[in-house]
Amino acid sequence: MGSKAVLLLLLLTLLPWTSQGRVVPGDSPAWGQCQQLSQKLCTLAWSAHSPMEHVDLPREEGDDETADDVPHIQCGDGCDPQGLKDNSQYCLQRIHQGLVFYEKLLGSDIFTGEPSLLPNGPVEQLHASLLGLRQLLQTNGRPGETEQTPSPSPSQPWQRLLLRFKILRSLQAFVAVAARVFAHGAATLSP
Amino acid sequence: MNQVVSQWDVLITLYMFFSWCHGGITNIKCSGRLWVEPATVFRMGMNVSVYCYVALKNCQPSTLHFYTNDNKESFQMTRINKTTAWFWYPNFLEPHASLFCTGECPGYFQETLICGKDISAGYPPDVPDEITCVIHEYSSHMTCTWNTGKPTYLDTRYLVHVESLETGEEQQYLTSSYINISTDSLQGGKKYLVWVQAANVLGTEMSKPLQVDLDDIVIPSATIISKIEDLNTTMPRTEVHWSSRSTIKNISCEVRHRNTANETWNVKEFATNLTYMQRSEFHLESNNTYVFQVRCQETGRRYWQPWSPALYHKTLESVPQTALKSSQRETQNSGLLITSTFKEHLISDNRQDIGLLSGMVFFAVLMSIFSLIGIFNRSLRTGIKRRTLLLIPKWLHEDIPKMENSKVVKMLQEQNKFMSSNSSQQVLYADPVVTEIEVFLPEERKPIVYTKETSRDSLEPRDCLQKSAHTGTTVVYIPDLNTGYKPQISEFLMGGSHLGSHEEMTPPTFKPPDSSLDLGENASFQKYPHFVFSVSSMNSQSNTLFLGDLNLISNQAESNPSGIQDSGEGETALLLENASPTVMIPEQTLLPDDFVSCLGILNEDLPSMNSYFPQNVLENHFNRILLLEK
Repeated sequence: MGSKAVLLLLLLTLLPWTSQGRVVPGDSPAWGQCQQLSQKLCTLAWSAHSPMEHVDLPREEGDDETADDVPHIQCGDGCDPQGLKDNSQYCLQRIHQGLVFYEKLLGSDIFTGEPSLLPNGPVEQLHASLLGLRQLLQTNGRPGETEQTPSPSPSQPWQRLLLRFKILRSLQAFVAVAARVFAHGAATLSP
Repeated sequence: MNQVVSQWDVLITLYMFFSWCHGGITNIKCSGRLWVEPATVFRMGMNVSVYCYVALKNCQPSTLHFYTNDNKESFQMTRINKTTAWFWYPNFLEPHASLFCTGECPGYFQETLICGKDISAGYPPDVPDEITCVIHEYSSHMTCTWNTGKPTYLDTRYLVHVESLETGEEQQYLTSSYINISTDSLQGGKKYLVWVQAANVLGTEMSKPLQVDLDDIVIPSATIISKIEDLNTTMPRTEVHWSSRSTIKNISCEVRHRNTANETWNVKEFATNLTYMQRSEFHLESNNTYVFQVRCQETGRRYWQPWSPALYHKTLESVPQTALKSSQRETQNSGLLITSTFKEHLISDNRQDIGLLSGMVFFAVLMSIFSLIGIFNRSLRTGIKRRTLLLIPKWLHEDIPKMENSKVVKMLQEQNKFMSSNSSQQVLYADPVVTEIEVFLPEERKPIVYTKETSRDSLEPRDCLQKSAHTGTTVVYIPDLNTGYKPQISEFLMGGSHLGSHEEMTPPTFKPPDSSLDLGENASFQKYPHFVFSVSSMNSQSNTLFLGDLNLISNQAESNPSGIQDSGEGETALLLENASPTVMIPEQTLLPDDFVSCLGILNEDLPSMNSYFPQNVLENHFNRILLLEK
C-alpha cells in the first residue's frame, strides 16, 4: 500500500514537467539548421569514439537479453516520412528527449571525472553541439527537461572507461537516425 | 489525443527514471567480484594481490584476463581454480590504477566483463611543522601555513585548531593546504594556540602547538626597491632607493646585496620610518653586477617580510665619467651595457677629432713658414729652380722663339695675303699662333707637303674626303682585325726625299693646303679626324651584313704589296711618303653607298658619313662579331 502511494506521488510529481518538456504541436523547427547540426553531431560522435580503436571493449553478460534504458527512435515515434508529413512533432519530441538524455550523460562525471579527457577534445565539442541542437528544438519560454532529468549515479574511475564507450556507441546510433530525420525534413517540410 | 500523449510521456519518464537506478547504459553490470589485498589503498611500494572471482551464469570462461588502466596484463596471473584467478603486483608504485578482469566465453568474440576496482597507493602524512601565522598589514585575515612534508599521493586533509589562551575556546578549520582565518572570528583575545592535524587513509599526524600573539604577527606592507643609481662623486658610490606603503612607525629594515659572481650576501640594517622614500648608499667595486633586496619588519616583532624581488645593477667602469648612470631592473641590464658602450664610443670619437684638427693646424702653419722662407730668400729660390730644371726633361724648358718675330712667319703672312682670295679660306688659315709644326720642302721641289696640327684640325669627314678626292692621291683603307689600325697610304707623285726631319726642309714658297688643285701634282695631304661611331648600338642583323661586305675589304688588305702597317690608331693627321712611285698601291677602298646607307638606317644616331667609313668602326665591329660568334 505504501509503495503504491509513493509511486502515485511520483507520478503526480513527474506529470507536470513531462508535459512541459514536450514540443508543442504546430511548432515547425528550422529544418535546415537542425540538419546541419545533426550532421555535425554524427561526425563528432564518430571521432570521439571510433570502434576500431576499442576492439577490446568487453561485453556485459545479459546485454543481449535485456533492453537498455536508452531512448530509441522507434517506428511508433512518427519519424517515418509519412509520420513526419502528418505531424512531425511526435518525432521531434522523441529526438529532443534523446538529446536531453545524452546531454546529461556527457556532462556527468563519467566524462568529466578521472581519468580526465583532453580539454576541448571531441567529447567536449560533442557536448556543445548536442546542447545547440537541443536548444534549437526547444520552444522558447518553456523550461527544458534537463532540470528535471535525474543525473546518473556517481561512477568509479574503472567504470568510466567502460561507460564512456557504451554511451558514445549508443549516441552514434541515435544521432545517425536523427540526422536522417532532419535531412528529410529539410528536403520536404521546409517552408 | 493530447491526453494520451501526456500519459505516454509519463510512462517513458518513469521508465527512464527507474533505469537510472537499475543499471543500463550508465552502469556497469558485474558478473563476479574483484578484490585487492591488503587493501585498495595501501602504502606505496607494497606488493599487491588482486583476485578475480567469476560468477557468470551461462559461461565457464576458459581464460581470464586482467586489465590495468585499460591495458591488458600478460604476466603474473595465476588461475587458482575454475572460478578464481590471482594477479600479483610486486612493488606497486603508481598512485592510482583502475583494474578489471574479463573472461573468454565460448560463442562470443568479445570478452565478458567480470568486475573491476580502483586501487591507490601513497604515504601517510608527515607531522606538520614550521607553522607560521601572520597578519599582513591592511589585511583582515590571519594566514596560517605549515610544512606538509613529503607528498602523500592520497587525499590528505588538515585540521587547524585555534584555541584562545584567554578564554580556552577552540575553533577548528578543515583545509587541504593553508588556512585564512578571519580576524573577526578571533574574539578570544590576543593570544592563541595553533596546531595542525594531518590525516589520510593511511594515518594521522599532529603538529606541535604554536603560541601566537595577534599584535606580534603583523607584517608591514611590502617594501620594494624603486631605483638604483651610481653617483660619480669624489668617491663613487651606489645609491639604492626603496619604499613601502606601511604606516607602521617603528620599522626595522634590511638591505642586502651581493656580487653575482659569488653567493655571499652583505646585509645592511636600518631603523627607519617608511613614510618617506629611503636611500641607502653602498661603495661597490666598479664594473660589477650586484643584486639588491630589501625587507622590513615592525621593530621587535616576530616575522619579517619576505625579501623583495631581486634587482640587478651593474656599476660603472673605473673610467671617470660625468654622466649619471640610471639603474634598471634585471630585464634592462642589456640596455645599460649598450648605453655604456655608446658613451665610450662618443668619447673616443671626440678624441680622434681633436687630434685630426690639431694636425691640420700644425701642417698649415708649417706650410706658411716654408712659403715665407721661399718668398724672401732668393738664393733658396734659385737653388730650387736649378734642381727643378735638372729633373724635368730638357725639351720642357728650352727657350721657344717668338713666332711673330720669325722671318719665315712674316714671309708666310705676306704670301698668304697675296695668295688668298677666298674669305672662307682666310678664316680657315688666318691663325698662325696655333700653328705648331711647319714643314718646308726644298725650293726646287716646290712645297708639296704641308701638315698642320691644330686644335681646330678636327675637320668634318666630308671635308677630309673631298680633299682626298681632289688631290688625286691613292689612299688604301685596310681593315685588319689583328693589327689594328691601317693607315691610309698617300701616293706622292713626286718621289724623293723623306720628310723625317723638319730642319732639313726649307720651303721657298708656301702653298696653303686649301690649294688642293696644286697639291695634286706632287704630294698627297691627308687628315684623319677622329670619328665617334657608336658601334655598340648596332644590332645583330647589322653584324651579319658587315661580315659579308667587309670580307672584300679584308681580301684587298691581304693583297696589299706594300705591307705598310701601323698599329697606332689614326686619329690625327698623318703624312706618309711613298717609297717609290712605281710601287702599285691599291686605291683607297670606299664602302659602297648602299652599305653605308644601310648603316644609317640601322641607327639614326650614327654620324653622317656618306660614302666614308672609319676603320675603328670596322675593327670594333669585327671584335663584336667575334664575341657574338663565341
